[in-house]
Amino acid sequence: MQIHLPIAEIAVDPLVIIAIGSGVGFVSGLFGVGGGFLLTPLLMFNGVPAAVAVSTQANQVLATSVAGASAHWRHGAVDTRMGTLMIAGGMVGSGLGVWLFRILRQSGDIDAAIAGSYVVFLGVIGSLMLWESVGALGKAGGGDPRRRRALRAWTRVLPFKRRFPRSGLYISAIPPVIIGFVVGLLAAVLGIGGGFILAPAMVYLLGVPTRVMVGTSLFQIVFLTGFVTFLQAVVNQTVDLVLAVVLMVGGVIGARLGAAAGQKLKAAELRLLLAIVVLGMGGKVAWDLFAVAPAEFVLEAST
Amino acid sequence: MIRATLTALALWATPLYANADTIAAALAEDSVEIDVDFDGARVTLFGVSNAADDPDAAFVVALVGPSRPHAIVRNTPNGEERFEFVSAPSVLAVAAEPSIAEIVSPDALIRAGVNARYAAKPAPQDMTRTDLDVWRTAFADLKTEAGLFSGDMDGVRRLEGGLLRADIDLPAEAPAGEYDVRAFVFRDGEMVGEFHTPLYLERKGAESFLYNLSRDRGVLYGLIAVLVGVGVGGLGAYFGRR
Repeated sequence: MQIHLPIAEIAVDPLVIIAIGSGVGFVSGLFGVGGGFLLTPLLMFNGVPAAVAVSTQANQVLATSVAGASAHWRHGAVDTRMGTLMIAGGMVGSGLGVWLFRILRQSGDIDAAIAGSYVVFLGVIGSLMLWESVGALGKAGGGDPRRRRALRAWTRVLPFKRRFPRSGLYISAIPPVIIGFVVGLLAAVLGIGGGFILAPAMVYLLGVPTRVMVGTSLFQIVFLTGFVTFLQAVVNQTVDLVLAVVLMVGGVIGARLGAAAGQKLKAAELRLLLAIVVLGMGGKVAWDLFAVAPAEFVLEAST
Repeated sequence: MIRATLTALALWATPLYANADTIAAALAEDSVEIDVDFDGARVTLFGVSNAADDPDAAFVVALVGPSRPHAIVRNTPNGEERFEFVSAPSVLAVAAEPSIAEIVSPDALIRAGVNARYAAKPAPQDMTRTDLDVWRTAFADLKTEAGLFSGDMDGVRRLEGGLLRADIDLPAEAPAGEYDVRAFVFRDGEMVGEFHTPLYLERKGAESFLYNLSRDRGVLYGLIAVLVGVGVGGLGAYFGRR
């Protein structure tokens, strides 16, 4: 059986789409990342035009992150105060990033430069996380990184200190805003959602416990993807609701299973797995960049 | 109904053009509905021609989708090149007879507008470019790869009594709009008779509702998309709790 997608103007097998949605939802619920980085290429591989894939995945990620965040909420693992500060920074950062991206695009061919810096970025973050989490697993407990580290001194010396009871922190309100800003900026320029960059930044730079990081990350993804879905629908008219709903059905189931699986893992194990995913992602971008020659001719979406 | 139509067509076609080769045709269904369960359609055309018993004549039927501007990007070691066609059919599905290679000249097919390699029209200033053929060939290849251009060299059958039948499969990717169905008779390399009839691909039901909503009421559509996302996520959370 096939269903026809009104905006994408193609027919797809709904079972394949549900399978994709649940697989990506699982990864999302487990790590607190949106999963758009997996979803967009998978949809395009199944014939969905790029513009529709990019917009519709935001709608699906919205649903899975609502389901995932509410699961973490019940375990008291969402720091709304920290999340709100990062959302504020992220809105400004992504707005500036979209503008910066346009300027960069006009100045010449920057795709390779973007992909290259993305590889370096993911490689460095992934390696550091891998090294740290393997070390933490070796020691007794396998919990979170030590609380009072030099890396986080800046969170204590800056003004406007606030309590973040969910994370068990008493730090300045400025670092979460700055991190939200930088992540929003990078996400807009690199063209991929910010969960990947945000997750390690919260753990290592702010000292948020891993479990609270996952819930808080999902919390702010809810707002971000809601905003993106709305904008894409209004400005580009590329959100395919039929595709989105079928994806969501699989996605929410996967997200619940992922969140449940996350509760059974040690914090350091979770960070180790995330490090592997980050490195794998970097490897894939590097592979596309250096090893795979792009198709000589590509037909642009007709207008 | 189709039989009555064909009889009328035959009566109309024969006396007027007794000396020339003529063709007249009708579609079994002159509109195709696209709803959310649409996964492609088979378009059947019946035709009558006074050359239907003549082995020296060849018949070609083409389904030509709505024309749109198209652009192709070429990745070269020195960066990207882009070429724009001001107009090209979104779909070009051709059914013909095996004898077409001997009877029809490639130029005649181009003039009839059913040669995939020449279907795309460039801007006037690009007509003289030396690499035009490269771009046109690439365009036809990409469209064929996507299933939107196709050719069936055994798609037209001659039935008894001067009747012709052509079956053309329309892919699920075919866009909505007005299609032009063209039937041609060729003889000695040249086109000697042709007939056009429209085919409408119309959005219906939920497909039509959602598409129109997304185009005419973008803000409402966006709000619905957000609410559906939150709602499905919330339902998932609610049922997952049990």
